[in-house]
Amino acid sequence: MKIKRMLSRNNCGGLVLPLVATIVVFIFLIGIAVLKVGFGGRYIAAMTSTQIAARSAADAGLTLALHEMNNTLWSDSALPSAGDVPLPNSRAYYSYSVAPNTVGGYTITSTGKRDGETRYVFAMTSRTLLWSYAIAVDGSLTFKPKTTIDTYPDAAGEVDIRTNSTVPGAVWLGPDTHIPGDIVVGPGGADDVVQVKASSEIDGQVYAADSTIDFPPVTVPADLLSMPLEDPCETGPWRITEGPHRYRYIDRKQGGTLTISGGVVSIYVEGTMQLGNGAKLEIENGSLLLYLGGDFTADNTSDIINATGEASRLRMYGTATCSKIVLRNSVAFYGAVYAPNADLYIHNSAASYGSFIGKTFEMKNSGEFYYDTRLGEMDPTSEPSFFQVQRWWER
Amino acid sequence: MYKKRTSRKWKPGFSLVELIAAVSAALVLILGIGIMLAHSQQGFNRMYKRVHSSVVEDAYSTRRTFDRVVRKATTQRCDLAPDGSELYVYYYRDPTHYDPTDPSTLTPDSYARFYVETGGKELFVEYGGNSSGRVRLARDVQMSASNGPLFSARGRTVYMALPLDNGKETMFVTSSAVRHNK
Repeated sequence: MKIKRMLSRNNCGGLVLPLVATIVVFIFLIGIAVLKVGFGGRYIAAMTSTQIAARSAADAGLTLALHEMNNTLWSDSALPSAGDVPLPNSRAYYSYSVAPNTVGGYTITSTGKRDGETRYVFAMTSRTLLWSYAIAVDGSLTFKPKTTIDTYPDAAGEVDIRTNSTVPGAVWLGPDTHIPGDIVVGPGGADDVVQVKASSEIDGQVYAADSTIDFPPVTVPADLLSMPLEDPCETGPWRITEGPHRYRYIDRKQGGTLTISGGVVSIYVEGTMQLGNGAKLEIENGSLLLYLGGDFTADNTSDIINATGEASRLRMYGTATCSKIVLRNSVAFYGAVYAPNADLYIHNSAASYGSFIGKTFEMKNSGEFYYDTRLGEMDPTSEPSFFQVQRWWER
Repeated sequence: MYKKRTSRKWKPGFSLVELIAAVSAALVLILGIGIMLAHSQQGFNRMYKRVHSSVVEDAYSTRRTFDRVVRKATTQRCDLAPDGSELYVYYYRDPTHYDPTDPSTLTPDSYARFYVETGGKELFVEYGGNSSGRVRLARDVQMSASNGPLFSARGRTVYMALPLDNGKETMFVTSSAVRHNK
């Protein structure tokens, strides 16, 4: 009886507990749903950023592999490679390896990793001749008014001009100058790097490169370095024939003619080389490979005559100590100049045919410059070149 | 006995004041919980839209496709409509098939065309050459002069500035990718 009475008295608790329980369950379900949606959003964002970081790491690995290939000494038995290198300011890592491929180049495999995400980037590379550029410099480029630029021997081709510089005004085109191609400035360079005067035209685009050109230094061939020093002839006619020759300096006085004949003549001038007023350097046939240890100056009315009409038959290489090359031709100049540490001044009153690669370039007179496209067909393993990506894919 | 009977029959109830106080307290509690639930629902809806709305999904897939296609494109050529509403990029269907002595491997064999259908609001990518097909990337493109060109290019880089607006959600998707192939 007592129990019955107690039960009947306590049974009037009502609906409070079920009501509170329902509300708690309802809030709990909404909370779970909000968390799930929020988590989904964050998951997508986290996955995207992780994938981007992994991909950036793989891209960085590829860039570094290419840099190593262009700037370090390596051989097929010791190819560049790296493993799990941390990407600065990131939790991503990259690895890369280089292997020879079946078409005579090298294939880079770069792997980027970040928090379980892995991205692979591949690139087939091959050597690209620096002669493939009409004009390429590390610093400034100046074209005086009314400069004509074209290609040779076939006209109306594309002429690409390149600088590593990002300094405003580093490329200056005088009035009435026509560039039949692109002007490529250094990475990050803005429009103000190129200053174009009125009535000048650029057929292509002006844009920033994705990386600078690392101009490889000129190495004098061992056979030239081992040659005994010869005495230069300063006046009168002088003929140099096939084979390697080494001189402390060359100073052709007024009116003297230096004739190159025979097959391939290679000359290493340790010091300066000068052609005085009216002096001539004439390539009758064959080729001249001129290695310059010092500055090269051709005075007024001196002439460099390349009778072959092929720029590849006169190649001038400036070593690290060659800081200036001055040309003042009064007849057409056919030649290719590669002097990565030299300022190049072209005062030719006649047209120039070939390619100029240097530290800076200035075309003084309102002359004509024709890029000899045949230079781009030379053997890249024996000429100044750098590795460039030919094919690229990712996974 | 009388006392016992009286105490058993008399059941004490709530006074009016107690009832009003209890109901008021319950109302405040219910109101608070109601507002909280309504806010939660609104927050949920907002978050759901942000994650799953057509604008967001289109933005995500468009950016991914744009990146994937442009990154493998060749630097040889890239064509843009004068108003920037159309972009052609060219690529090698099989980039591993490369032989410098075989001219047929030196030019791209496929292309991708990104375009907004004339008068419409839909962005498509069309594959041609050795690839084929057409995929709709986005449904609510809002082209206007103030938004600038949809596509632009400079050097090896291609840019996309895609305004999306479905009437409820607005998003401006910007992306850039570097063309890697020669």
